[in-house]
Amino acid sequence: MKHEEHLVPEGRACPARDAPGVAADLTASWFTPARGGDQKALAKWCATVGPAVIDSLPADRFGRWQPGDSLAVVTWNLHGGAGDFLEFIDVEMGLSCDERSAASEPHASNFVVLIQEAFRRSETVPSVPDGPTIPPPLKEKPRPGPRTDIVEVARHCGLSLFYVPSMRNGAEEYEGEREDRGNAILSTLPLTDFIAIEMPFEAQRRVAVAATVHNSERDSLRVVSLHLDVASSLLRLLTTGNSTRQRQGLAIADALLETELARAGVADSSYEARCYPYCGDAKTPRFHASTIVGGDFNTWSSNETVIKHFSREFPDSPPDDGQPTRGAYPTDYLFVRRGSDGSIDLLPGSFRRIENSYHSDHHARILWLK
Amino acid sequence: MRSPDAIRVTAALAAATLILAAKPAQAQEGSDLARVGGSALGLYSGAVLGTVGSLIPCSQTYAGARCVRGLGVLGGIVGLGAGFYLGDLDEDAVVDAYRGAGYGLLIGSAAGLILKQVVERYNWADVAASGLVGAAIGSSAKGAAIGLAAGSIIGAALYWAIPSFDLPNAVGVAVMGMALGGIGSWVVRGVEADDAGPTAQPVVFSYSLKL
Repeated sequence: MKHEEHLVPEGRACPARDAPGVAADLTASWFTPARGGDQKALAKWCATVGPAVIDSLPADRFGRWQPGDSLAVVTWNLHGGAGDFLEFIDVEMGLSCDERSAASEPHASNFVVLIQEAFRRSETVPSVPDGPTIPPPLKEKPRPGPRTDIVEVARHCGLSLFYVPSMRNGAEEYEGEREDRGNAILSTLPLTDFIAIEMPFEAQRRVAVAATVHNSERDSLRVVSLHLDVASSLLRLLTTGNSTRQRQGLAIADALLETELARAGVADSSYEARCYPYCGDAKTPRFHASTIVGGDFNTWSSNETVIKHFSREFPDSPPDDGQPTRGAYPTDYLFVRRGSDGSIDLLPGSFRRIENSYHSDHHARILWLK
Repeated sequence: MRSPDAIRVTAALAAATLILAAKPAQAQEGSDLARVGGSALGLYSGAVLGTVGSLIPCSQTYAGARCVRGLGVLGGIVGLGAGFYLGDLDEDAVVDAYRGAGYGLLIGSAAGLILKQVVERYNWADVAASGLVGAAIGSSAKGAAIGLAAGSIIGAALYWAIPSFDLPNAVGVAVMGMALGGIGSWVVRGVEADDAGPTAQPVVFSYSLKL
């Protein structure tokens, strides 16, 4: 992966591929695949989407993450506007975004929600001719309530937000506005250290997003939201040996490794440096911060290669419960790696599938940390 | 309404079917051309079947794509050897294998055309790939069919008997059965040609004649 640290330019959505970005007020790190073929395809897709959105601070009414406080981490594929996010956080997280109750009721617990297939409707999404780099819109089943985009929802509820569009959500125009979709992180906590990881191109452009939340005393927790391709073309399937999700997943793992190595001040990429999270017999975590990766891995089974790799690289993950999250398939996962600072403890038995899908085609998964 | 491309491809498939239906000249023993042709088709068929058959089982391993590539190479090596042996013994059998590959190409391409109409992002390259996979299967159709049937029965049995053996695994066993049956049929045809007797010639002898 090629790592470019630069400012997120206002009004742009894509990493600089050959030139640094222009000035802006918030920084993000972009990882892009090193292969030229990937870059070329990704650049074409990227030209169709709007800019990333960073609202790093939540509303004042949310409390800090104090030692001993619990923190919920959720991963959920919203399926565009199908999933009812407002009802979801009301029922599951205890946060009502109704303005009167939001003003009067203290919020119970902090949370981080890792979202996939979030959509954003905006005039900042460029008007471009329809073509192969614009996928059709997601097929959403009608549901009660308004169809609000991820930026509206986050701002309405006062949540911090990091949203990076991966692709367009159809070519349609809605009174001068257009839609894109991608991964997002929403939280009641401030978000920092924004990272966007463009995955190797397989079938569609995909961008994983990462950010960090902090508690008031100890170190940080990096959270990552990803969505892997469901399938590549038949020709690619045969010529690459069905490596679609393996390639994308390992690219994300590599980018996270590089991030942690850089943060730890390790300049080399020797075996010793790369043998994270545990080296030799000492079983000592090499990296200071903890990481939770959640997302829609689009896997047929929980024994797939990419899941085996993530299970090894995130050894503190809760055991797989075997429950499907999309139809009969176990597509959605949460992986955990505790840092050496011991800043997180997984509450035993807290990892589960949320039974109500809230009109999405995916069930969410949740775990609780202390 | 069908696109002009689809009409042209359909017409080409129909013409190719007529050509394949013509009866070939008969040859009762091996030849240089049959050895080269058998080796090439065996290599191709074995490599493709090895790849296709290992896609799902290997996706359940840590090695993943490396496992697929390894089994594709192994299938190709077995196919190459068996194809050479078959061509050395029985030119007719090689011609039959090519005829089967032709039918497979047509059927695979036709299936690809149908998929292109119904599957999002299924493009012309995928239609061609469908045809090429069809050709690999068609060159050893009987063995592939037997293998698919056996694999389907075993996969279904395991699916019902073992709760953790999920549907993708069952499909994987069926497809792997097809691949093993197809690759195996190259070997079996070589053995059958060897058993057939008078027309078979040892490899060393056939080369010594040329010298």
